Amino acid sequence: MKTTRLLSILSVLLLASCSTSYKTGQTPDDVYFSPPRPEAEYVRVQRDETRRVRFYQEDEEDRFLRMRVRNRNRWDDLDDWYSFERWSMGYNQFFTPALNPFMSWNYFYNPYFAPLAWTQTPVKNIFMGPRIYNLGSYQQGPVNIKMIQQNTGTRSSYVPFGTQRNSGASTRGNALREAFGVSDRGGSNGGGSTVSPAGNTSSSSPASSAPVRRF
Amino acid sequence: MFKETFLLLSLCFLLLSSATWGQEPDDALRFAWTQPNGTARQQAIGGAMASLGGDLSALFVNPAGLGFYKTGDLVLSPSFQRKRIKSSYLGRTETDQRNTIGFGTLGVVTGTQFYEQHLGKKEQQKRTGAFAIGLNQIANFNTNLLYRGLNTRHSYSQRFLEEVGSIGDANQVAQNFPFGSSLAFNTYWIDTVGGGSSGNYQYKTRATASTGLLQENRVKSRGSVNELALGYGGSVNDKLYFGFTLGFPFIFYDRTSTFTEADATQNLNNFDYATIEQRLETNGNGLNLKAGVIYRPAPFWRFGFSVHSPSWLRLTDHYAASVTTDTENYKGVQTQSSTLFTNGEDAQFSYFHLTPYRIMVSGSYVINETEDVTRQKGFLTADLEYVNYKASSFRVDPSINNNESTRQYFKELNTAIDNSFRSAFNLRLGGELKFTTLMTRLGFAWLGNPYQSSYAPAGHLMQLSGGLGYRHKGQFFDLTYVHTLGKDIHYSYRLTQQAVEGASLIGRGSRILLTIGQKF
Repeated sequence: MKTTRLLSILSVLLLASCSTSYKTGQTPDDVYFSPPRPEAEYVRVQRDETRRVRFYQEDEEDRFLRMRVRNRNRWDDLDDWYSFERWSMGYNQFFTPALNPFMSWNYFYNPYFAPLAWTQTPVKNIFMGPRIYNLGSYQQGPVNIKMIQQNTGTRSSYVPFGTQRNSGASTRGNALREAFGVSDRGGSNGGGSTVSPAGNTSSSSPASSAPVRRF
Repeated sequence: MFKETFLLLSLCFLLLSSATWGQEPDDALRFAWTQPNGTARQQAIGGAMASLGGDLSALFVNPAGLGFYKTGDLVLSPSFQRKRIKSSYLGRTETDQRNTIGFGTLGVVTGTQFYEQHLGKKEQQKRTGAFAIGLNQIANFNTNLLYRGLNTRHSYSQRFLEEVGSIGDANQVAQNFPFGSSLAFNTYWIDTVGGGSSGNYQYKTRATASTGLLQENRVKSRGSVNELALGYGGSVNDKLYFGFTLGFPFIFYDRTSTFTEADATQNLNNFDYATIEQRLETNGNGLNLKAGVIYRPAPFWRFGFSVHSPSWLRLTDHYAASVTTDTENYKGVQTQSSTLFTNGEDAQFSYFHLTPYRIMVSGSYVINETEDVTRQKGFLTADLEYVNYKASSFRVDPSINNNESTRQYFKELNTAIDNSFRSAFNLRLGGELKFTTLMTRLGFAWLGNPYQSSYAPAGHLMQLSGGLGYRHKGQFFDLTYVHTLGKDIHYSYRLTQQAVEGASLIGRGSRILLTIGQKF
């Protein structure tokens, strides 16, 4: 849901920020016919401007190169030495001065050196197996439901007999029986008088966590 | 020490033994029998787009349709959906529904026209090329399902008995089936038959079907399959169009199903109710390829052909189950979760899944393919899609679990898919009438039955749609209403020794889709 909202907001912003070259005239419908794009005037102007900027940049580089050719030492300071790999760990690290604090041999005393942390995350013992289904059951064909309803499901078999449970207690069983209209049958709360081994009425006792049985 | 040893032994057993609830053929259909979303225009004409072109949704149907673009479109398609499912189970009918906000196709396409001259030829070839990037919702899983019925023939617990019936060692039954049978056994939904001895136990259920069991199944599903796609389409002399799309589907699916069966009588008979709650979360992503061509043999006519490769998905399941049983005066209310056996964590498993391939043929008749929009009058289009649902398959990820029993299970699972599903044809057709800037549309779609008759009665999906469109000053707005009618079946459990009844589902869905677009 969050992704949907985020996408919607981003899309609206994108849509709102767009301009169209079809404000006037007919709006093409690409399903029927897609005309070639109109070549707007500003597109051509923009290209010229782009070329002009490039021209200035090229000028600067050319001028510097010409100056270096004339007098190498004089204009050396203008060079951008630190843009090269001279002092780094690149291809020429062999020639890097030994006192370079970023070199590895003295990293122990180097306050700036941060060795790669080897943190061992606790390994969880997760059960990794497929969900396995009894695929043999797929060989059973679908049943004829109408026939089954004719042969079974008579309500006479649900007439209460013997001791009855407490139909007033809120259990899942009672909720389901209520949905089916079975709970008011007999109207007895006889179940309340029957005490379970734990001392509670069976239908209202809280669920206890079952241990694994042992034999 | 005992606890650690017990957990270790349990995990070893789990890897060797089977569970009751699991990866099943239905999982394959979930990612294959879908109703892909699209732009409002495409959805209004039944989702047909395999020969029409000129719409961003072509990126997900037939990328050759992108070749029609010489301009650019920026498209956004929010949607609102309501799904209502009416279920009938053993003569009783229930209804549940779910509203969701989603989205259809959104993205951008930009095309251009250029000329190419080949050596030795005087005439130039007129060509186009268009790139597109888009996102689309391929499937929406947001549904609530509820059904109830009075069952006098069988109990859910019989599936546990079928699974453990031949195991004489009750300790194994108590430990080796942590996602079903062990939970049922430890909470006394199923129990030993009196008089058994070590290594020679037999089992029975405490839920007696003969006196009636009230059964209820609630299934809450969330999630979707979304696909990010990059595509290219081109054309030669406005006659032949071609294109391909690289799709990256990503999946999130979350399902909680709660099945309860309760004694239908008010008698104290050592069984009040039992509930099994199963949680499944599936995440993953993958890759697929779509390619197609559209040919215009004469003005007004377009014919399309498109092939979708299977989506190669790597999915990860996180799953757990718990059982609560009330055996009244016998053991009271007992509950147990699978996490007791899986070190407190949900179980997890990663695997590969291949969705079925698809082949589409299509034809369109477009009245006046001219630049003057006042002369554009409308179109009719129809797609026929072939999907072989049997081609879905699951494969083991060797880096996760490559033991023989897992590979054997996946082999049997794929055979079960072959036996359960079949190939089907899907039909999509629609039309548009255009009045310069205003458009009206109607559409129809039919998704055929994916089930073998031995697996389930017929299921199908029908979609009726209508919409309006407005296109002016470089912008366009399309509004579509889609009404979906579907028939399907849902099984809360299946038994090997007895045929069981599924719940018949009649789904009704309403979807409103709005597409806002800008030309550039």
